[in-house]
Amino acid sequence: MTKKPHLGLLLPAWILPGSGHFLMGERLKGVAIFAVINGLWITGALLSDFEAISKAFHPYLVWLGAGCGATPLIGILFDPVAENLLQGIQSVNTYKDVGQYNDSGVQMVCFAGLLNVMVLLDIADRVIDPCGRKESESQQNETDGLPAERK
Amino acid sequence: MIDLFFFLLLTASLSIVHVFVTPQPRRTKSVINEISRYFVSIAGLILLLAIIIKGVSAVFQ
Repeated sequence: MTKKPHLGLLLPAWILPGSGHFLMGERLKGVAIFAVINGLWITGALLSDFEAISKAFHPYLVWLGAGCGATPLIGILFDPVAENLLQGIQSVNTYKDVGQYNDSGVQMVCFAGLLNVMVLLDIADRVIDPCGRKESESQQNETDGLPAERK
Repeated sequence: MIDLFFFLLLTASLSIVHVFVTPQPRRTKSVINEISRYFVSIAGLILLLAIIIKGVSAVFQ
């Protein structure tokens, strides 16, 4: 059962990647997007000790990860890296135990955020320009040898 | 080696999401075929570029 896409789906899709497509009735697509983007986000956050979602550690890169709603929500509400924050000269002398894959983790979170922006644009495109979608679907049905209504 | 793994992981993620969210006017192959084709082409092209850049930097050193 396919539900009509609307802009309200952008909010759940932003907070939990994949849920927008799942709620539209495209369950396989939703589950695949959920697994890929959330897998990347969780792996990246763990590899970077949650520094990837911290505005204090990465004041600019964190906005790339903000494509996934969990980045600003967890980063602002819970601030899991607050204990790592050291001020002034103390940070230079004390905070030297950066994880080996810290950078890779940050990359993964940024990548997950950008991928979720693609997903959000896909949902928005269905609402803003549904005619273009219908045309391309009917073209696809013609190549499959089926009339547009039967699929 | 672990960097290569991370690179392939990110490329595979990009391939999967790209194929799922891009409207295809004529989808003649299955989704898995399309994902594999996109993954091989994008990873191959980036690796080719990396080899060329390595070669050029080796020449000028």
